[in-house]
Amino acid sequence: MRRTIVIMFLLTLVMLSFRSLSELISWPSYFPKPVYNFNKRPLTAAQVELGRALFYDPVLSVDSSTSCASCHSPYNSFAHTDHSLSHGIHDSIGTRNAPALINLAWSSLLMWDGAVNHIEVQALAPITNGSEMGEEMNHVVLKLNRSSRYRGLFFTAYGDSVATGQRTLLALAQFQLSLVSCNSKYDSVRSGFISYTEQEQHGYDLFLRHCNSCHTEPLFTNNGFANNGLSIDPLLNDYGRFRITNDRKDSMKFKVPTLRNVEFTYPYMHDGRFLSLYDVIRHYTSGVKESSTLALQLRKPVELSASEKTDLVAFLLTLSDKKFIFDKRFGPPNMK
Amino acid sequence: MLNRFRLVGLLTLVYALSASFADLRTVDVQFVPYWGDKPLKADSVYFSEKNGDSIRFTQFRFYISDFILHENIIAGAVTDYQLIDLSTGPSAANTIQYHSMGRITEFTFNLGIDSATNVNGVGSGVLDPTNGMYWAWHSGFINLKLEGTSPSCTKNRGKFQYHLGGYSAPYNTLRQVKLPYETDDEHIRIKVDLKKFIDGVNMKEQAVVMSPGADAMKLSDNAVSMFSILK
Ligand code: HEC
Ligand code: HEC
Repeated sequence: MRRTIVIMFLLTLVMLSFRSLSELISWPSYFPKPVYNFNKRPLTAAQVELGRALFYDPVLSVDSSTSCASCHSPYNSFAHTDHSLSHGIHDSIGTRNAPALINLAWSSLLMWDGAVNHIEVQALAPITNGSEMGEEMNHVVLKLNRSSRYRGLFFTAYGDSVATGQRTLLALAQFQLSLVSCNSKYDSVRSGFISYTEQEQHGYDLFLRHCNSCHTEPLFTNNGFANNGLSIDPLLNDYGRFRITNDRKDSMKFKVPTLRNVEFTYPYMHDGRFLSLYDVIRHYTSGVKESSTLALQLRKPVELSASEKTDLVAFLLTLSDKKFIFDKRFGPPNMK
Repeated sequence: MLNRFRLVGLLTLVYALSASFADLRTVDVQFVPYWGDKPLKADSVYFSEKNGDSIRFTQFRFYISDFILHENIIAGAVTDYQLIDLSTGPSAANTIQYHSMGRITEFTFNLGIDSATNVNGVGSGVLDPTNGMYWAWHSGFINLKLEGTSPSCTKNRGKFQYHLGGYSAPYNTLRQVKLPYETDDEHIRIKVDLKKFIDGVNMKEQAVVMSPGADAMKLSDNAVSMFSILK
């Protein structure tokens, strides 16, 4: 009897501590307010479902070879792990590494350089990029309007079977907005259900000291841009945010990526240059390259002993959310 | 330039005040592409003496919004976004209804899409990205697109492409066009003189402008000079 009461009490606590818009999306109360305006455009089950169908469908690429999921796999937190630089149609190689697609409702500027200002228009970039999907938006819409399956899905989602650019993009955005990851060990500890091991706790302390200013909890990104001391790859000559703003102060700055699910999103950095978390940490302790735009926090090298490095990695692994990775709602739809 | 919300509010007020004692009138607007003093003919070759370029146009489109007729105060307006396509000849804009209390002295419109709409996600209708007036690799609307061919554009295989856009400071390319209104005619025709635009660019050096920045700013100023009222 006592046990049941305690369990009931705990369950109520859990319910109260989650913000939810519907069964489609919820997040813990310690998350900040989303950037995306769900009041203006609420998620609907039918639009998310249409978005999921589109996300997994190579119909969006010019030769029907490549879908969004070709580069953003659910098992890698929607990043891509086989290649450091993403591969698209005709085996062409892009210039950047595909990032994880999680908690995008909290992201203001998208892409490594912030080139895209809103999740609803993001998909235009891969769809029309010659080395990704190589399509044109009006041709995509034409193909969708020819498909009876999509006419049905559009009808269910919008009450009208006609596919338009806006409806297609909005549905893709809705599916991606539903990809919320908030069930890692970090979250359970934060909610007070379990505790860290001593090693994880120590790693967490190190993280707060050295990393949290940019990879700020609970989203593990401050959504800003920084130069974290990577050297320029002379083959790619990628100066990041500078390309967008033409402002010298932005040279070599890239978007601070979330570290949630970082266990699954290797290789790391905008060009996928590091294969393991130990490589990343070695970069911060001994690989940081001086330059005029280098972040102030990294001007003095981060000092970590061998055991501290292990502790830090142990903490980073508490950000893994297996429930998210294996969530059936996010995987490929069942085709009828 | 008025903030859109304030504009809509003001209009409602003006309508409410004036509806009772002013006449309801309408004005039709048509945009007509020109080369100097002659209407532009599709697929013809034109010559700019200024820089010695011979030119054929293949595409000419631009967005307008906040079309406003001014008497002493605002008399009437169409706030909708409109995509004007002059690639093959003249094109009509939405008819403006207004309550006249005197004589129209001026009208103004915005050339391009305001910054708020640029950061507002995906649009529908004329704002739908399938219209080809939206940048994919770098979010933002293309306010004006002018394309064609000229032997002067040796650096770009004989083609020129001017896609003007950019919504954030210091490269905000939205422009207001102001035209004095000196007629009682209910049909206004706006001349859009491409010669004015072309004379202001060095096509040999600059065949392509396709991103926000200083060049797009300069060409957007240039674009404003194309518009005048046909008498
Ligand atoms: C060929 C591989 C490839 C394909 C196909 C692809 N992407 Fe991407 N995606 C990338 C790469 C690489 C980046 C980073 C691009 C950059 O920063 O310039 C990216 C970035 C993103 C981002 C930004 C994430 C962030 O946090 O900034 C989103 C969202 C996204 N992709 C969604 C999609 C959608 C939706 C599709 C299908 C319409 C898609 N991608 C297809 C490789 C791909
Ligand atoms: C000054 C801000 C800043 C600090 C401090 C910082 N990072 Fe980063 N981090 C970044 C930026 C920016 C990137 C992306 C850089 C790029 O790809 O060009 C990044 C990338 C990463 C990545 C790659 C993630 C991925 O998915 O590719 C990992 C892992 C990482 N950082 C871990 C850490 C750790 C651990 C610390 C503390 C020792 C730390 N960072 C401190 C800014 C920072």
